[in-house]
Order: sequence, then structure tokens, then C-alpha cells
Amino acid sequence: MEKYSIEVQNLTKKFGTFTAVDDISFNVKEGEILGFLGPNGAGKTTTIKVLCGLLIPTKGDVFVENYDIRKDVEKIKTIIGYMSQKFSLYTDLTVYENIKFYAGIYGVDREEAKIKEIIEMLDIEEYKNTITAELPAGIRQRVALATAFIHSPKILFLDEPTAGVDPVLRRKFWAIIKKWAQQGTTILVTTHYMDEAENCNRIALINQGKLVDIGEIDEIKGKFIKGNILCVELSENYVKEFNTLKKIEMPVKDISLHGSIVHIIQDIDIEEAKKKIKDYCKTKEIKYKNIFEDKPSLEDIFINLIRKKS
Amino acid sequence: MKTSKSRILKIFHKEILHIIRGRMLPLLVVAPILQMLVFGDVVTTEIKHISIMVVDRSLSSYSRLLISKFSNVEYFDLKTVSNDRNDIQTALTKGDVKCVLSIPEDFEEKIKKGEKTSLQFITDGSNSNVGSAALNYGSIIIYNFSKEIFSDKMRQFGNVIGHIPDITIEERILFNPELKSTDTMIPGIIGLILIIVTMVIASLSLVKEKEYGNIEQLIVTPIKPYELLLGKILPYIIIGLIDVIFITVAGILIFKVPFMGNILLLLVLSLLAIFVNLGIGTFISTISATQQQAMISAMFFMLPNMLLSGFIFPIKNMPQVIQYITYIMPLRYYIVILRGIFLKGLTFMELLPEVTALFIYALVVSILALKKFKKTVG
Repeated sequence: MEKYSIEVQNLTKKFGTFTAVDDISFNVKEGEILGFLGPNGAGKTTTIKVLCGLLIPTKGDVFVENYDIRKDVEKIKTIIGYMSQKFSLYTDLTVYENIKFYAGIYGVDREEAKIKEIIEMLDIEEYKNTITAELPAGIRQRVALATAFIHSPKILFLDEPTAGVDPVLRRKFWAIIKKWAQQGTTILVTTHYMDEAENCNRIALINQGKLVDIGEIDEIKGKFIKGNILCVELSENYVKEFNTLKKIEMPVKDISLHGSIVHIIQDIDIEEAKKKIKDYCKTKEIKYKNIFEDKPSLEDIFINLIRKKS
Repeated sequence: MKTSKSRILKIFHKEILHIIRGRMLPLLVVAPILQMLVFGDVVTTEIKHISIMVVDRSLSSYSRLLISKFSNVEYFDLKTVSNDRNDIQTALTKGDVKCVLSIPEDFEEKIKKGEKTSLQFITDGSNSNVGSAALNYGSIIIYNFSKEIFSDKMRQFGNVIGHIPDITIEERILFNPELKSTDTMIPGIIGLILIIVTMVIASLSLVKEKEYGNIEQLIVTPIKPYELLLGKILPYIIIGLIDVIFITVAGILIFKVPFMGNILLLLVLSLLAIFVNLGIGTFISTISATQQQAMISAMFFMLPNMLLSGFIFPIKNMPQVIQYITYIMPLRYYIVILRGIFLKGLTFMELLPEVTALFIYALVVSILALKKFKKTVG
């Protein structure tokens, strides 16, 4: 039998009459990175807060490392790390003081050595004695990560960890997360950056409090999008041209605009479809740079998902 | 238990850092000095140096003698001497003087003839305290002056009666013989400072954890609510006690306030008051989402405590209904304790009713606060 770090069975969380999380069940394997994907207000943060013991579930069972969240929440707290959206650090303390404080609260052994190690690992040595308020978001994020990981938790919960952080630093951040997962830490992360989800072993799609699907990315892509994707890169007047392109006479399953690129999801043969689009563009005088085939991205799935719902 | 103690110390250490980084330390120490200066010396409830004008139309040796009586006491400041009655109205209206003594033209003449004469004493009633004080002091001076003249006359006529009977009151005020208001103010200021340092500042500090989202980060750690609370309030208990010692010493040295009681008793009972304040402060923090809200709630509590505790206004002078309300003001009991220890040297047993009231208060608010705090944190 496979060992699960987290087991969630029929979890429901209500706030008054509002149901934030609606009958969700899933398991997370040890050392796995599970990405929680969904629009704002889908229930991602609420789910994480229940798993951390910040909120009490209305219904259902949650087991973290085989501890029941209702009975053994104190034991769970010693083996989990949590990083909230707000990077809740003490802004009037230095980076070192923040990390040392949490090391003390968790009662970390060989405290100084551990602090030194994590500061090096996260490459924040030059900011060690800087007051946290003066740091840019990217650095603050890593300091918050350091405080959440100082006690080497078995499970790390990351709630929108990369919000407001620039792409280069985000890549660095994910490199660290992946390394920790390889070393056996289970990671549950929420995000609404679709490209980031590609870093996860599995993703869980959440919408309006319900678990829409969970699985490996390719598996989910195949399930949600049948057919192929043709991309038309427009050269000008994107919205206007896109609206014209929408009226093309061919069996299109979905058409959406992503910046300057129009994604057309359809069933017929690729080459035939390409020709049809090219001809259509010529008659309607639509200027385009390129037409190419692409694999469906999570973004396509996401848009598809939300359209289906509404 | 060892880890629990170490977690409390970690929180304590962090709180000290917050206090230092937030430049709160000078505030927590300078504020008491400022308050002591303002309340102890500037706000004085005794009335002295009432400005007075004398309209002397008699211009005689008797009138000059009477004027000298007024200018020789510290209760009055003789501003002007005039001989025109029309000046009275203008001087009082402009507020140059608070009272006027008017001596009639025939003052000396009538005294010499042994006839009845009367003086006019006009006071500005817009500040009734000053007005009635002026009238009191003035009547005493004039009464004494009149008695002097009477005895002189008796002596002139060869004192046929012998001894002149005279009844005087020998005043003796216990505990604060000079009725100095600083003596009652300084002990009261300790109570006020403790409310600011322990209740207001501590509740702000607790709310800050909530406002910036740090509390969530703490809840996911193995820390227990009571450890967090204890670590957070411990610095303020210490600073509160330091302030008590500080004001006591400064009060004795600078303001010459007598200290008749036991300093240890003062500290122990102050600790009790600190617990009451911290309990209320914690409670305020649980019902406030932002520091601003906490500040307003604290003010809402602090003002009636200041006004209805006997700190400034005597409780006995309040309407009956308000007097009942004063019983729910914790500062009321602490003020009695403070003044009792300072001025009367009261012992624990003599203060038992107040101590009991404060103890029950501390117990109730502490339990309530901890319960409420556990709910918001746990």
C-alpha cells in the first residue's frame, strides 16, 4: 500500500450559509508536489487552512501523516510548515531575527547551524541583518519560506507563494521547492499562475468549492481538451481580428485569445484546418505572423473549465 | 514544560525587540515624566493668587491697612488700586481681575465714630470655584481686620470688660496637612500610567499580530495560546512595575510627596492592578481587528476611569447614580490603595476591601480574556 502524507475524505467547510469547500476528497503521496489550481474564491486557501489546523472542518475527515486533524492537531503542527499569501513576517525585525524566532518557537536542534544552512540554501545571506520591511517582495518570499521550513517539516503548505514575485525569482523559488520534494518533503501549493503548475507532479482543479479533477497534468489535459490546438499569431488589432476570426466556418470547439495569439481547438485534420484558416484570413484580410500547432496548456484547460461552468 | 518556558521566552524576547525597534521605550519612560509634570504641578486644584482690584475712595490710613492685608497673603494678587468706581465693570469684564474690593468714602470716618460700615466685595462667578474661594478668603481677611479694630477700640477705652472672649478654630488636617494637591495627584498618576502602559500599549501590540497576519503563522506552530499571551504581556508587566518605582521615587524627590507606607506592598498591589489592566487590554485586542479599533476601545475605557475614579474629581461630590457607576471602575480601588499607602501608610489589612475588589476584578477579567483569546487563537 502506498503511503499517503495527506488524506482528505469528503471535506466540507461552511462559513454560515456559504460553502467554501464542498465535499472534497483527495490524497497526497509522500514527496509529491500537488498543485491547487482554481480561480480566486474557489476554495484553495480555505482547504489549505483546514489542513493546517487554522480552520475546523464542518464535515469530513482529514488525516495528516496519519494524525486526525480533529484530535491530534497539536502533533500535526510540529511536522508541518505553512507559508501564507501575506508572507507574514515581522517587518520590524531583521531577516535573521525572524528566522531565529521561528526556530525558537519550533524548538529546532542545533539552532545556529540550521539557521546558517537555510540562509545559505535560500541565498539570502547578504540580507541577513536587513530589516524585513526594507526588502523587495522576492526576497521577503524567500525569508518567509525560510521561516516555514526552518524545522524541516514533513509537509509544506504554500498558499500563493509567488504572488507579486518577478519571473526570475519565481524560477529560483521553484528550483528550491523541487529539491525539497526530492528529499522527501510533501508539498501542497496553491497558485493561479498556470505556467507554475507545470512544476507540480499532480494538479487538483478546484472551482466553486468543488474538486473538478485531480491527476497528472498531461492526463488532465487529455481529458479536458479533445482535439488539437492551432495557434494563430496576429500582427495587429488583436481584438478586432480575433472577433472576425471567430466567425470562421469550420467545426471549432473553442476559440480564445491569449495576448496576440488565438487558440483554436478543433477536431479535423491539422493540415486541412491550417489551410482553411489561411484561406479565411486571406479573404477577410486578417494579418497574421504565423500559424502553428501547439499542445494544450493549462491555461486552455482553465478557460475551458470556467466556460463550462458558466 | 521546558519547551513551554523557552517558547514564552522567545515571544518575550521578540516583544522586547518590537518595543526597541518601534522606539517605544522612550515613550514608555518619558510619558510618565511628562504626565507627572502636567498633573502633579500644572493642574492644581488649590486656588491661589486670585487677581484682585481695590477701589479705594476712602484714601485713609484704615483703608491702606486693609489693602495691605490683602496684598500680604498668597491667596490674592493685588493688581491695581483705583479710586474710580467705574473701573470695576471694565476690569471684571475684560477679565483682568477675578474680584474687586470696594472701600467707601466714609470708611475711616465711620470706624472712628464707632458706626457700622460695610465694604463691597464683587467676584466674577463665571468660574464658580475661583469666585467662591475668593469670597471665602476675602471674608476671613475682613473678619480678622474687623476684630483687630474692635480689640484696639477696647484697649483705647481702658478695657473695662477685661478679657475679650474669642472662639477660634484650630485647624489640623491629617495625612496631607498642607492640602497640597500634588500629594494626592502623584499617587493617582501611577494608576493612570499603568493603564496606558499595560492596557493600551499591550492591547495594541496584541492586535498588531492580528492586523499583519502574523497570528496565523503562529497558530500553525506548536505554540499554545497561553504561552503566546504570557510572552507578549510579560514585558509590559515589567515596564509597568518599573514605572511604579520610577514615579514613586520621582514623586518623593521632586514633588516632596510623603511616602508613609510599605514599598513592597505598593508593588504587590500594583501587580494586581496590572493584571486587571492586561486582562482588559487582552479582551480589547480580541474584539478589535485593527490597532485603530483597539485604540478607540481603550480610550472608551480609559476616560471614564480617569473621570470616575476619584483621580481628579472627588467621588463624594458626584450625583448618586454616578457614584454607583464608580464602583465598576477598577482605577477607583487602585487610587484608594495608592493614596492610602503613600499618604496614610495603610497596611494590607486596612486596604482589604479595595484589595478584595481588585482581586475579584483581576480574576474575572483574566479568565474572560484568556477564554476569548483562546477562541481567537486556538
